[in-house]
Amino acid sequence: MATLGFHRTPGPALPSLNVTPRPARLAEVWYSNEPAGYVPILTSGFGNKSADRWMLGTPEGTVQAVVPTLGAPGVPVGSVRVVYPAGWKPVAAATSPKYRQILGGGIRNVYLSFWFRVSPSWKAGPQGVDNILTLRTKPGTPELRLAFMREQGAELVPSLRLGGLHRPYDGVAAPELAPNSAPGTTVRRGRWQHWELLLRGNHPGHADGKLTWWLNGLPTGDQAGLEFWGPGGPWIRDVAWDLTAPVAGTPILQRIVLDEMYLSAPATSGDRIVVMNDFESGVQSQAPAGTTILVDAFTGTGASPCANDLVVAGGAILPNFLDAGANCPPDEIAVFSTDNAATIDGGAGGGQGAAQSPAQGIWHDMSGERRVEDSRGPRPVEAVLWIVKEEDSRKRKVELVARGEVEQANAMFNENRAGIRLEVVDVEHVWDSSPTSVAARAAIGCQSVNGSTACTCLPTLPASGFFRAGKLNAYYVPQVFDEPASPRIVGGLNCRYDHSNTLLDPNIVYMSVAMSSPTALAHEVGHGLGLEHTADGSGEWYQGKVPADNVMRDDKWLVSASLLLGQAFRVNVETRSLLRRNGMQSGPHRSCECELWAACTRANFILESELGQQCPPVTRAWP
Amino acid sequence: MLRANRCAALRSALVLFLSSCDSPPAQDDERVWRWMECLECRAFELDSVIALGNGVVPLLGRILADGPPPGRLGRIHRALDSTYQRLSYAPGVAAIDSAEWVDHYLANYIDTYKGRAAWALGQIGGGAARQALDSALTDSLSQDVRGQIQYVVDSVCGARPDLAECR
Repeated sequence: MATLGFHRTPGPALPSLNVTPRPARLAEVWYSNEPAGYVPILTSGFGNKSADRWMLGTPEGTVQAVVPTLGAPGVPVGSVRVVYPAGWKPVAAATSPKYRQILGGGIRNVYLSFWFRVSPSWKAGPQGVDNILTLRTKPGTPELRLAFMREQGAELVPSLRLGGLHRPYDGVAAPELAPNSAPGTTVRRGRWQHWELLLRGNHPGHADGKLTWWLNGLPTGDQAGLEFWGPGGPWIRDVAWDLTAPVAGTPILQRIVLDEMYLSAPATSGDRIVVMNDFESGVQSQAPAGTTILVDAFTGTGASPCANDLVVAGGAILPNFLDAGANCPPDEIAVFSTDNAATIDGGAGGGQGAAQSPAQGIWHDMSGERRVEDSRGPRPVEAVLWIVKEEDSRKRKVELVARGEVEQANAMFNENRAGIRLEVVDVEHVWDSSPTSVAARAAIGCQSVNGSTACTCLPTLPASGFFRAGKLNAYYVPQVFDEPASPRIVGGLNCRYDHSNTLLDPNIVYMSVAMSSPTALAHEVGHGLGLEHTADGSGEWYQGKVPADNVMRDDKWLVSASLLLGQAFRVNVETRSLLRRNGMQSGPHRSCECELWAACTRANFILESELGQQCPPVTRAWP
Repeated sequence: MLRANRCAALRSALVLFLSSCDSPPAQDDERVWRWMECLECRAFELDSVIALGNGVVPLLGRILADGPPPGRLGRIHRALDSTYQRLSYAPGVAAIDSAEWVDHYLANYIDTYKGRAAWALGQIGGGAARQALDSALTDSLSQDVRGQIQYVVDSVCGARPDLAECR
């Protein structure tokens, strides 16, 4: 299979607050055999099954998902216990409990650790073996059974069975590996057992894969020379506790308790985007945080005719809101990916977005699962802060306030996947005792009003020496006046249009030092990025769908703020956004909002029903 | 009075407010609050208040004298406290002391209310409005609010020196 190509441009350092932090390790000390540089991709303590997002398959026996008093050593709460009463019989066709999580696909190296305990009376399953844990590459394929027990006499021997190898090992398609580092190792019934395993994938075309495993911290097995997969994968995609049920009718009560699942993989530089084919339902409950999954649904008779039926991000479905209808999307899809930005992919046929999206081309060949990584960070929007304040004694504080508002705006953009961040490249103090103060006052549009100073948008500002083209220019002034002819004191202003509704520059922002709220800068930058108000003095514009803390509300003095998915989409692709004006976004774009500043009022905003397939509704919320 | 001093006094007053009183003024009117709280105020918020006429002057006078109602001020204060804690990981925010950061925005919130009350009073006009403005000028105000009040008085009376309240 072809190796994917994708845009990989070194990105700037991410902000310190990440929207999808990787899970933390449960207890660092337990993972002594974890290689350096691995980061958690799954941790489940089973203190809360739903929070851990494990999917319960078809249970047999009595599954008690959370058992407060029976945790693994050192763990206070939660485990999964499966109980098979004496004389237990399957209620239907032979099935077994499955606790599964999708890891995101494409994983070639993985470390896993978990705890389990079987009851003192435990008897092996029908084949004399008990499967405990498997890793799979795709549904229907043979599994890498990386933890199972074979009953030998009275003993339970820990073992591995490798299904689905790309090339048979030593002539065996599905070899079974017994402990070779410590022959004679057994699983002790009635005691907690700690299982660790490190899988190092083979290089393409080489039988150099390796498995190393430990029981209770002691080396147990070590097997090299494995060729797990071919050059195009498929690689590890999901993990399952795929328990083998005991022999039906066994006249003794049996139970197995599982706890503290942990998987880690080598750190990557970006988020994961995964394409899945023919995938069964339930994907939304299994997608790990931080992974965007594009799903081609399985209809029962074959793959859906649509390339992408769903987008799953962070465990929730994002309907393909560019869908043309009939569950078949147009030749585009919007992807919120590593950089937290929405990008529009051109889809099959080399659409116009193909060069923009990190997922470019991945659905040109839907014959197998794919994984791409996007190392880009949020787009840096270069900003210049102009501190315009008469009192020298306060200018340092004003600068600190301004920088703090930049950071608060960045936190909001990052938390809400806006895909941008403000990067302060310069701070200019233009209003002090220097000879330039008079010129600065005139150029920036400020006038003295009875001992105070008020400033407003001035069409000549971009041509002055007090403006940096192609950057966001935020002027922190004593007060901001809108429309000098009929002045109103306002907290902030974006000068994308001047007072006669002539296009000026969305890069010009005025901030009132005396009256702005902590979120006012984010609001004004939001205008520069193409966003319009969602509420104002006339009320909320969208039938109550706008959260109380939405950053584009103009009816509340907001202390903290958020963005909706529909707004994050616009930030990245809106035609009028300063990203395009500043040459930062040259790919597909959309005109989702009303065209003129004056027209963007509650009475004139574009109805959601009129957006067609071009834009998601502005009120589309994050799932 | 310096803004910092005013903030210290405000903090003391706020403790009393939070512990005793959270009731809005008698002539509460949503249109007034929207004018007070808007950022850009492009939806004719001021015009809506002016349309209320003299009946809203007492409320505006109280806002000009006292700032936001205690309940609103308390909510903003608590929100600022929690927001600072949430953002204090960021160096740009942490560079300012928590109390200073909160006081800055609390003062902005108060000045916004007082300044906009002054604007509305100036536009409504009349003896009561002028009296409220004059009275406020004798109080301890930030330079920004004082400038706004003076601007309102001057601009109204500059355009209409014949008005009784301007003589």
